[in-house]
Amino acid sequence: MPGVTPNRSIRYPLYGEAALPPIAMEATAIDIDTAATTTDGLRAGALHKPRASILSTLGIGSGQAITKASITGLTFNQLNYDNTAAQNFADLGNNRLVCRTAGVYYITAGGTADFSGSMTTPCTLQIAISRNGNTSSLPDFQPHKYFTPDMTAGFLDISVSAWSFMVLAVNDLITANFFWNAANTPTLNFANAFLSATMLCTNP
Amino acid sequence: MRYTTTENYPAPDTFDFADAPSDLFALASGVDAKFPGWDAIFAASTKQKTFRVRSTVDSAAITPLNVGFLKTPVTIDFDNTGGMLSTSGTLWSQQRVAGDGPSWWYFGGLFLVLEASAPTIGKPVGVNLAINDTNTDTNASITTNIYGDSPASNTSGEFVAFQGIVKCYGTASGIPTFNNGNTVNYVVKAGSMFWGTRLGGA
Repeated sequence: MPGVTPNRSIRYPLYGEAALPPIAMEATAIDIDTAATTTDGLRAGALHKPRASILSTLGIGSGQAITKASITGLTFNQLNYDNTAAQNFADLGNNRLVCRTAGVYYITAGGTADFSGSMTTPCTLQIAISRNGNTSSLPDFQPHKYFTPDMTAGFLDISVSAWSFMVLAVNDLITANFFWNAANTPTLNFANAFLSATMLCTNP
Repeated sequence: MRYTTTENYPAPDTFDFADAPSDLFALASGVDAKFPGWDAIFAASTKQKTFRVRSTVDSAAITPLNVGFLKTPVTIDFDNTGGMLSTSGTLWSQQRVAGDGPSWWYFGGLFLVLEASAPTIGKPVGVNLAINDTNTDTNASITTNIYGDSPASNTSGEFVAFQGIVKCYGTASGIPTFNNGNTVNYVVKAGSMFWGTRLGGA
C-alpha cells in the first residue's frame, strides 16, 4: 500500500501489489475513519466553544453582605453550565472561572444590589470582571459603574451588570467583584449574582 | 463507475479483483478531496475575525461640549481581522473579503475618563462608536452609532461602557469618540479600549 492521497494520507493499493483486495480495502477504510475522526474533532470545537456560567441562588433579602467602600469578590453556589469535557472551566468552589483554552472571551457578571436602611444621596455602585485578581487597572480589571444621584431613602434594589472582552491564556482566572460607596451607611446585600463566559475565538 | 448519491463518491459498477487498485484510488481520492473543505469551515469558526485595541497614554484635555479620541500610541491586544490600523491607532477599517457577504459584528468598548476638576454631578459624559459602511447592493452609505454614557459622579473618574451589534457589508470602519457633556475638562485615560468580533454571515 505505498500510495497515499495528498491531503489526509489515505492509503490505496497500486497495481501489482500482492495484497488481497479485502486487506487493501481495510487499510483505506481505516484511514478514512482516522481522517473523519480528526474532522469530527474540529467540528466539535467549532460547535462547542468553551462556555461556563456560575450563579448564586441567594436572592433578595438574603444576599451576600458587601461592606461599604471595599472591593469584594462575589460568591456563587450553583453551577449553571459548563460544556468543557472535564467540566473544569467553572471553578465553583473558588467562585471563579478558569480558562482552559487560550482565546478571546466575552464575559458578563451581574446581580442585584439590595439596599436596606437609611439612604442618602449620592451612591456609587461598581461591578467589575477581573483577570487574575486584578482590581485596579484596565484591561485586566473591567468595571461598570452606576451612579444614583437621586437615590431616595429606604429599601431599594438596583440591578447591575458588567460585560468585558478579555484576551485569556490557559489557566487565567476570572472573577467578579463589587464595590459601593455612599454618604451614609445603609446595609447592602448582593443578590442573584452570576458570572458567565463564552469563547469567541481561539488564540492564535 | 457509479457515484454515491449525496457526496458523489466513486464506486465500481461491477467488482473485479483486478480493478481493486484503481477503484480504491478513486474512492480514496474522492474522500480525501472533501476533507480540506470541511476542515477549513470548522477551523474558521473558531478563528472568526476579532480585534481589541487599547490606548497606552492619556489624551489631551477635552473641553466641555467637545469630542476627544483614544490617544495614540496604542497596543493592539488582539487582531486577526487585518483591519486594525496601528499607524493611526484608533481606527478599525475592514476591507471586504472576496466571497464574504454582509455579516453581523459585535462591537463594544470601555473608556476610563477623568475629570480635571469638580464636574457637575449627574451631567453625562459619553462614548460614541460610529460604524461607517457602504451597502454594496445600493451603494448607499450607512452609519450606525453605538452610544454609552455615564452621569458624572465626582468620584475620580467614570467608566463608560458601550456595545452593539451591527450589520456590515464588508468595507466598514469605526472609531470611538468621547463626548464631554459636562462642564469641566476630561481626559481619556490610558487603558481605554474598544473591540469587535464577527458573529457570522447575514
